[in-house]
Amino acid sequence: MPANDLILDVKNLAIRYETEDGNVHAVNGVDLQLGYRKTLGLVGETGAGKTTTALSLLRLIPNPPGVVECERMMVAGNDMLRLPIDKLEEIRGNDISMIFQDPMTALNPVFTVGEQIAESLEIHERLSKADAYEKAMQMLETVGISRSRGAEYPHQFSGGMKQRVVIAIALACNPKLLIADEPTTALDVTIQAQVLALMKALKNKYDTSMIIITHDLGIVAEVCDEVAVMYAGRIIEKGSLEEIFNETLHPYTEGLFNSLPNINDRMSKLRPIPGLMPDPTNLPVGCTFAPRCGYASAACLERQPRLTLMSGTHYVSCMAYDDPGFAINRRKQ
Amino acid sequence: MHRYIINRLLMLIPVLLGVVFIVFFIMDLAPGDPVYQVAGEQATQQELQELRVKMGLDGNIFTRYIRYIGNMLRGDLGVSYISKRSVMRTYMERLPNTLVLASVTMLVAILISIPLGIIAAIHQNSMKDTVSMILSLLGLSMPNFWLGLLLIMLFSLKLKWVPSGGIDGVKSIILPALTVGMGLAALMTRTTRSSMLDVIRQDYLRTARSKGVTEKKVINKHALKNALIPIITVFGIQFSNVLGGSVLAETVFSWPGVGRLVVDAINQRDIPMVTGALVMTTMLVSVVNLLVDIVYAYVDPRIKAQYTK
Repeated sequence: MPANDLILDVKNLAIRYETEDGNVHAVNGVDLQLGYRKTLGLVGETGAGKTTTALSLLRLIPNPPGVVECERMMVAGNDMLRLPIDKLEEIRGNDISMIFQDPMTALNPVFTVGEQIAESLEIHERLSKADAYEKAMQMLETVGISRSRGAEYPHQFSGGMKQRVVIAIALACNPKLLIADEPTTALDVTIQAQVLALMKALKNKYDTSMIIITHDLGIVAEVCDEVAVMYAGRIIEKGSLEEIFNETLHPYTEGLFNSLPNINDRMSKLRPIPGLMPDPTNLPVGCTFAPRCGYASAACLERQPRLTLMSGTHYVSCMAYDDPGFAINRRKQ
Repeated sequence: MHRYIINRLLMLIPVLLGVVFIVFFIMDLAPGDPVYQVAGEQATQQELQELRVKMGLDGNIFTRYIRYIGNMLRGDLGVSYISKRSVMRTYMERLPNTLVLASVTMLVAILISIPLGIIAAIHQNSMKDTVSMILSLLGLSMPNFWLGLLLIMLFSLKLKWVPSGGIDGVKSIILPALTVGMGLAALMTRTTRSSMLDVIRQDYLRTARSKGVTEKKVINKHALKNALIPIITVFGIQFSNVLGGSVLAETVFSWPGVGRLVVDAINQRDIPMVTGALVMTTMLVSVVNLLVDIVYAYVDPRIKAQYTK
């Protein structure tokens, strides 16, 4: 895909946190590309580096302790690595914005929700206070909250309502790229579906490109066009939704599917992936998943596999595929 | 909110009654009979008794207390034993001086401490942080009168920029306000710093940045307003303190405020003066506390919600 058709083009992103106890290697060489109006699901368990990756796209990694190294980071045609801070502030909230994970702490307790939505409109659309507030009220109605509640403070809202406010803030200026960091994790299951439907509707309405960070494969299946699976700060498999779901390649992705409860077979036990993710201060030399992998051989422990194109747009990072006859169990069934 | 304020004002009544009683009781315990002090050594028993009735010192402590409260409600705090002038009038002559000094002092303290505390917090563990913390340690540990004397030596004796004491125009307030204000700024700087440090890593500041809010506004608007409650608390306490009069600064700078009035009255056993001044100061401090609580509500809507419950 030519570069100017991409809303997001990231090459070789590495992020580490320099602490007194050593360097935490949170992200280790990630490439991400996303076309306009597409939705990418960034999947992986807690600590895989998903949120860190997302924050770095807005240049919001606090430094110190965070250090971002990257060959290329283009967002909607802006070179995020070379822009001065005042230009970054023009892009944040306008071209790219983010829905944060925990709605309980993402809102400022001492300003009304109306003021908080109106603020980005005042900044980016140069609206007067009154006009910005009026538009903020429309935004509030768009996310399904009555405008009469705009003058209320976050503590007067429930968790689901706060998440809607956070979504309204992120969408206020119709960003070209929206990053949603586990937008439904903190919510009740009943509210999750509502919020998800709302995001889908708004995405279609405003032609927004989107990155959804989640560990919930159900959400991915529902809203994503493309999927990237992250493990220990690397992307280990990526491809279209169909490729990832129907032609799973990586043993870790297989593990993720296996750990989903099967509604058709209520007697079967959950099959979680054994073990834990490696310590990011001390990553192994070889494949980071090898210690937990049922298919691992001695070679896996020796060197890091490369992300290799297997078919269509489907990439995997697994040395087992050096053997052309190899297939994971999920594919054999 | 209005109901809350009215409730708080009504609560002032028992507080004042209690304070007057405590002051009254303590003064009664003080050794020596004021009647002798006024009448002199040669007075006869009869003269003493007449004087006692005239001065309102007859009867037990409770009848005197009730009588005092009755007079107080009419704005009469008695007559000074020494100057024979109305306590209320004497106090009111001094009060404006103290109010002016206290206000300018607090202004100095705020202007120094809030910027310094914010800078220290956003550059935590850096050189700037260390320097402001050393400055504030210096301010905390430097005795007030000593700082005052040093300032007088430099700015009035050597440079002759400002007078060394007394009230003589705007210039004369600079040194006393700086002296007291710098001491108060020390504690407020530390409070500002630690309160900002609590706020500065909050998720909602990241939300603000992600909206494109400038870093300056993130700190001065989004962070500071959240950090303000502890700062206002310390401000209220310190303001109450200086309203009672900064005795040392008033002495060093010959500033005719209420602090020296009280100390002089204590030294001269001028009981009506001491009692009256303490009652008035209590009233002022109670009003300041009420104002602080009202300001809380405007800074933090969660506190306002509690008030109106």
